[in-house]
Amino acid sequence: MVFNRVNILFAALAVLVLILGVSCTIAADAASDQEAWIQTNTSTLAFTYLQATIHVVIKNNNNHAEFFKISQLYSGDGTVNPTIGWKVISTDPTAIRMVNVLNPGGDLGWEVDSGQTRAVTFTMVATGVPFTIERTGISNTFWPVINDPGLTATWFMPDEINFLNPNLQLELWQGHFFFFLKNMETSGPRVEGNVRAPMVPINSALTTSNPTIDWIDSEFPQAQTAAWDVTLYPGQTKSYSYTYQWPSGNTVTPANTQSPSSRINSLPLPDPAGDPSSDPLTIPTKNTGLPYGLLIIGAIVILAGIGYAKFLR
Amino acid sequence: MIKLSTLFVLIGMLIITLYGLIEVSYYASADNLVGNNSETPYLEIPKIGIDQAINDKSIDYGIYHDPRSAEPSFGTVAIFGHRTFYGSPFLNLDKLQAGDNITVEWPGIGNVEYQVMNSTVVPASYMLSIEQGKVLFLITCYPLGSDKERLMIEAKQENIYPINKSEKKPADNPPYAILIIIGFFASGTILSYFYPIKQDQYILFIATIAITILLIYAFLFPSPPDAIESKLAWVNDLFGV
Repeated sequence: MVFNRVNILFAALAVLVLILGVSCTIAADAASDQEAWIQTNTSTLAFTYLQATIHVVIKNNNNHAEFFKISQLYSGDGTVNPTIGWKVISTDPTAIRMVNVLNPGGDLGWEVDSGQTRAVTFTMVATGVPFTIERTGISNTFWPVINDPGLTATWFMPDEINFLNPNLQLELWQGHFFFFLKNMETSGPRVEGNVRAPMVPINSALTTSNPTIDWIDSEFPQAQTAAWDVTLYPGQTKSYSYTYQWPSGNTVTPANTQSPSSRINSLPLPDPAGDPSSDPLTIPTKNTGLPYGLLIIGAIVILAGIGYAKFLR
Repeated sequence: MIKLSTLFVLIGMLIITLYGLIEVSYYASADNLVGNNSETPYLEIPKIGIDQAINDKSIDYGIYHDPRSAEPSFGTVAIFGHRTFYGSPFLNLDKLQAGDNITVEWPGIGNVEYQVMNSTVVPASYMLSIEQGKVLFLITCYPLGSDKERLMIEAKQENIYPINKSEKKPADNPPYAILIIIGFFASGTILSYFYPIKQDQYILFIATIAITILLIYAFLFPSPPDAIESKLAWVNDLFGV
């Protein structure tokens, strides 16, 4: 009887030691961290890479051909914003160079015949990186732009394209964005805060995000913003990606159903078509390491067994 | 009846054996795969002592070029390597700094030189774009001993020059697989000999023999131990370690 009790006691002790060991490791890490909040104007948090792939289906309702155009330069409030520009790196089908080039980078476009519905895809990479997040510069709050025919468009909306060229009717918009955020400081405390990304046209539906978007805000009149609660240590870079679609169709639109802000970690992401793993331009990273954890546990278990056999029996 | 302490030791031996099984399978299969094939590409990073063959079969054979990415000089190259176990080819990848040199010797293309630009840590679920121009990505796990994140080294392409046929020497590695098997047998024998419970010593020794036979089998008939690895990863996740 006494022997069984000692056995049970020892087993419990061994489990306790294991749990304490793991907990102490985690606690030690946490205790050594310092915290700071991201400062809007003085933050050293920067985008080091930003890429967008946009898929558009558009219909020409006119009785002659029209051109659907995109710009390679972002312009906010009628002036070219030097903090962020876009370089179109691929188009499908291949875009043609427009006449009357208004932007130094050149406008691109596709011809859409009368009555034709055409699907086009283009991928853009932000130039001028790294650029910092500045709340004062409203122009870089929102990213994507279709700039046809004027330069004053700050972001794209279905109504806007109808206004700019009422003969072109937007049928579908899918946007996939991914970017790196980097804490440019090499020392000092970690920074924490919310980072927001645009979802325009408004009333789009989020289909995928990685890591899962924490919030979708609909507080701006012309756009929703997807947000992550981020923590970055000095020198650390993290990646973020998300995909959304307009019109929302049957997919879940959290901002519409739970406005103004919704926690969506637990909501399903229903559109597998937007799954980045199906994107032929990207590959998953391999599992390139076998964790040491279980190996250490194995060694501890052996030592515990020997220790018990030698000293406690 | 088997003692609780003996049971603990056996469980610990079993856990460590799974890791040993992976290493033995790796060294046996990697040697068979690479051999002295003149068409085999090589990765050379003098700063961290890497001069190793690249395969396009599996990351479990060593340094692995993802065939969905481009070959050097044609676009974005993605090369993966284990940081722990499997020979740990990318153990010291975090030591690379901006400006360090990397050479990829690729038969049919040449010696393609790259220069490190930056290093980045991304989540394990990260999807790498393979349309980023003529750059090389070396990718491994981060931090050491964990698979929660990935360390990515980005290097830009520099010069390309012809391969000097005589400069490549086949790697002459020690017989690690055999050494691991001998190590397991020796450790198990010593453990069973000095084990304090005399009547259970034979149990540990029988277990040692069984483990040794298992490792010899893995050496003679190697295969990528995906199943073992995934189970170990699952258990690691379960424990949160």
